Amino acid sequence: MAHNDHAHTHSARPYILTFMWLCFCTVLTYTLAHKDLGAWSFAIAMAIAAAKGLSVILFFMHLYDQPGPSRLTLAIAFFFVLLVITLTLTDVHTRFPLSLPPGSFRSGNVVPPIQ
Amino acid sequence: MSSPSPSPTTTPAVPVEPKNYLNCETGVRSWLLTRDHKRIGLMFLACVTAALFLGGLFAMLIRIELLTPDETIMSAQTYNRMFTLHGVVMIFLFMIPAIPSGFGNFVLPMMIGAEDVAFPRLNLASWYIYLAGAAFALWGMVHGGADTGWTFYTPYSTTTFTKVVPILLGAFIIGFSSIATGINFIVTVHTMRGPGLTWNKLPLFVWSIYATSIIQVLATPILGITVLLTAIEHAFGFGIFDPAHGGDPVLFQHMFWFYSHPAVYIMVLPAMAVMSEIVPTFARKNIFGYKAIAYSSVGIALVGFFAWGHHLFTSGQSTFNAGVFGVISMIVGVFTAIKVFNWVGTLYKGRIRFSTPFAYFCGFIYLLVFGGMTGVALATVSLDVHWQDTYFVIAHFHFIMVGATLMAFLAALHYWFPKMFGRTYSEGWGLVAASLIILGFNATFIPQFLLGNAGMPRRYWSYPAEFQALNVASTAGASLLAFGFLTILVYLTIALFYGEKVGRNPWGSRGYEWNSPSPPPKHNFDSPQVFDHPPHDYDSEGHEPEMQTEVHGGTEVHGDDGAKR
Amino acid sequence: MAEHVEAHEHGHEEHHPRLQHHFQDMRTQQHAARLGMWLFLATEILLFGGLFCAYSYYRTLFPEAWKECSKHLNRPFGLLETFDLITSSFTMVLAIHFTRIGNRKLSVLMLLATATMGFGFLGLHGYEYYHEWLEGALPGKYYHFEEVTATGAPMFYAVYFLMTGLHSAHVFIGGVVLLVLTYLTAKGNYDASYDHPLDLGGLYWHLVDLIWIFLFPLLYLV
Ligand SMILES: [Cu+2]
Repeated sequence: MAHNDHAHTHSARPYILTFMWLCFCTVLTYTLAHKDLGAWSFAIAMAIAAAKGLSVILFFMHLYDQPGPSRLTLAIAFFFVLLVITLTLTDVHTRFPLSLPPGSFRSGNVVPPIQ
Repeated sequence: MSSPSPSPTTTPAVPVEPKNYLNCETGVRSWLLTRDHKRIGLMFLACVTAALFLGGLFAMLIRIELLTPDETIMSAQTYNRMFTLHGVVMIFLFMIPAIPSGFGNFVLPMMIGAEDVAFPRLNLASWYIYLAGAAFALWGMVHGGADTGWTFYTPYSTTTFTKVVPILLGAFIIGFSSIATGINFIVTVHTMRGPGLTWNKLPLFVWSIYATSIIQVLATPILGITVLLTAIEHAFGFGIFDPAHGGDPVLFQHMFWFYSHPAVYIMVLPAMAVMSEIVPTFARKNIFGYKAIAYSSVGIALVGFFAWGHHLFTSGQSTFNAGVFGVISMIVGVFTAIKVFNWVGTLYKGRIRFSTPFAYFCGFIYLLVFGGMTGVALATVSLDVHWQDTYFVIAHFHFIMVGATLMAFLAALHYWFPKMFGRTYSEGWGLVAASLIILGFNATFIPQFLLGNAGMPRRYWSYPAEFQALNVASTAGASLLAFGFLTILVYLTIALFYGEKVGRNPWGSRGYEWNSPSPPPKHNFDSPQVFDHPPHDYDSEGHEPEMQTEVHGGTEVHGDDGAKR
Repeated sequence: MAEHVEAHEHGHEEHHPRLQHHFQDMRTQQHAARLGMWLFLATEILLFGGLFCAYSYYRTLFPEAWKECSKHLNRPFGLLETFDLITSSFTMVLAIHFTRIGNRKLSVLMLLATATMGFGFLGLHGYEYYHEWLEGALPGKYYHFEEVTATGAPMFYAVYFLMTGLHSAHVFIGGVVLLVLTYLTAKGNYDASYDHPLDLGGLYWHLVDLIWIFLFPLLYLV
């Protein structure tokens, strides 16, 4: 029954801590975005977003005390998003430059000489 | 509201037939508002059968048009619409929902000893969503149709003047129906299994439908967003796939095939599900390699997601990606081969009963093997460059996807017909129709393999005169096929009203769904189920159910309990 | 998604009035409802996944346009919207928490706050859209923003409008669901022993927040 299930969540403390952590991360990512970190800036921004997302999933959405199938569902969903992104990006990165849209990152400058 | 009396009746003077799911409530309203998974399954079956005949009509018109090299009965523009509508109707309205939403809905809960699916109202909603999507698509077809092919490739689909938007939205809406069914089945299998029914005791039908549901849930949203983007692009011109603004049509193809390749397994896995039930029943033998069949379903579901790029070999995709996708596509063949091996292993030294469902199994395994092998050939990048967009591809996917699904659909229809309606059909006519269908199917598509190899491109309205002989052969095969379907329609309709009554287990199957009366009562079983034997178990001592004689035309009278007589 | 509102007459006395006949017990019913919701959320993630794919595709093709266009989005507004959604997620968990400890009044208050912040988010975003409309920073063929001329800028705005548009549609649906839940909570439908609809509504709302957590750095902080 529901009330046994949630006996240990009767304290709002974890929620408050999660909320404070989310606010901290938001401020952090906003501040870092205004500093020039070069190639790292994207990775750092994504790492912070992942940390925020994970805490929402685990504590607000209670995934930490859910049975296996729910966890697996979410993990597989994220895996498939990564899959569709990765295998389309390898295409863009390894494609014959002339078949990329005009004006895009490699199409203009690395055209192989025509023999 | 009535409930069947569970107490054993002591030979009453006037036999009162216990109420079943068909006659416990009557009236149109009781059907339209039902939450009974069996009724919803039947409603889906009625709709998909109608879609099959509509799509078949389009197919016949295409074949008639191709009888001569130039115009036969329709203009080129009408022809373009015809093959588009044939594809859309057959894929989205027939093949994807046919087995999971139709037969799956009917038998899956019974196979796990459940009273219903986990979310009965969502189940009914799924049928209405399907109808709404179908209505959208049909409206678009009547008001102009679409001429893009069922693949809706950009930039053509975003610039054509035909009515693609309603048809795209129809596909989008039907996707939600598919998702709803998938969610329902996954949750049902997780939470509603009867006491003692562990994962490794699930019937193989359930395993395969479970794997199908995973694909439906994970792949369909990507199709949803893709067709939505295409519709937005056609209506407003956001440029997301338009090279004029920096967009790339190849991205459309990536996203489209991310769904549409796994969608092949949404169609084929349920076909395999049906066959895994039929093989042990008609071989009277334990299934060989239960775990291999069960896990290979999940394997196909997973690996199928890594293969979509084989549709983009000539679309400007990088050679690196083409190589990767080509190799992964071939791996799918390994899982399919595992299944074929195990089915054949089950037949080996079995006591085979050559009934109608088994005839369809023979057609199925032949189409699956040859369709699959041409698929491995097509996954070879260098060969595909030659065959891309020819009739070879058409014949290939009609063999593996359409052929397998069609055989399984008809096999399931004949296998579960007695359970659904408590009556049986004429076995002789069943075998006649099965031979018509299997012969007709081969006669239609083997010429197309040859045509494609000779270089006839798909989706062309006219062709060089030297291709005519094979095209005529293909059309002749298609008419045989059509004749087979009409035969089935006639004798099954007769059987529905005048067929001989059967008991609970006419095939003598060990499947759990046969433990209920035929037709089943509203809540599926008249007594609580115990799962004391593994599924597909024909070896254990004690009671071995035999086939009922009335199925083979014997003179036995109606028994209410065939299995235990 | 959820299948629970209907009370079913049942022979056995010990059963919870909200238990449907085809489930074994209340625990299984809740497990089923949650699993169904998680599967639905997975489909939502993949629905957005298609757009994330388009985003990364075009960001790879047009890195310059992405940098420049992102600078022209209203960053402080994005920050404000992020805080708005995070706080609404927080009030959502508190609403469920108060229902479980039996404080209906606070629960209703928290739900109202959540819904208000949801619609507030839509207001803030509408304001942003209005400004982009005025500037001509629009997708595809409508693009006539003079400050950014890099190739691919119309693609950035196409992706931006599609992603935030789909997200806003979800916020709107979530807001309506929250208002319904507020009404039902105020009516006294939920208590410590039965709060499944609240639970599922909360999951949906957190997902909306979750998507935004990724959209914010991807669009505003390139
Ligand atoms: Cu494919």
